[in-house]
Amino acid sequence: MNSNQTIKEIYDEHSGLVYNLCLNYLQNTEDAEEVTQDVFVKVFNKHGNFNEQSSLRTWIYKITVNQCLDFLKAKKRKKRFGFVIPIYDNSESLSYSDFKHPGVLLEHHEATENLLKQINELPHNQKTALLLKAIDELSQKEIAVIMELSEKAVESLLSRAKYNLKEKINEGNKN
Amino acid sequence: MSSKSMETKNKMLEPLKHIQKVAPASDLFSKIENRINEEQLNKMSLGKLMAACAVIIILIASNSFIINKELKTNKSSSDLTETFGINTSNQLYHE
Repeated sequence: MNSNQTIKEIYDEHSGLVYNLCLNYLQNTEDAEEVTQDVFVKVFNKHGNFNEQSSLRTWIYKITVNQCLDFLKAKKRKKRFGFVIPIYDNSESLSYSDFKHPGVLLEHHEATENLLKQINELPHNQKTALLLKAIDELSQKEIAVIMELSEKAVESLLSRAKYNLKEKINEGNKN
Repeated sequence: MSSKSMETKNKMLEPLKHIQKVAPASDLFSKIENRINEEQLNKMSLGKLMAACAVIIILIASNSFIINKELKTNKSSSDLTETFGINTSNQLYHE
């Protein structure tokens, strides 16, 4: 990261990338906004630790994926202690099923959102690899750097993700 | 993996191509700036809190050191009075 590059410049260049990945990953507009904030606060706080070996874009992708995972873990933990959440708090009720992706045109809503729902049920690493490949159109090499895996491992993750997804869709069609 | 199966799997992901990029809310950057400023303020007050704690610990330590030293000198003076039979009661005449 160039020391002259301000947080505003970094935000202008990468906010779309971060927000859209959060949106696809979390499938909730409010959560995506919250995690986007977390990502840029972290980028600002940790820019000293950034090593120029990887690109800034890859580094930001890595932070975004990790923040999304942390957010989902925290949400799961919160759900486990659901009895302490007041009954008037409807934030939890905005589940994946209620999510209307703002980037999908009305005529494609059903097919795209059904697919996103199925992707959401995949294990986290398969989901991450698939979203980065299919929506963000990253190369396997880039995905490998972001997920800190070998290219072979990413290839196998993608293959398993597609297989599992196909199974889920077939199951859904049977029911 | 057969090419037909690959094709089916890729076709299955086609709906994802309809997802368009969405711009984040226009006030998102100001929210981020506010959070960064808040965190810096918190960090500063944390620094002040730690400095205050350090001062308190130093004060307590120096006080306990002085009190301990004082007690030791008191003890040694009482030992002296016992050894030499010095009357410390100010009562010179016994009944």
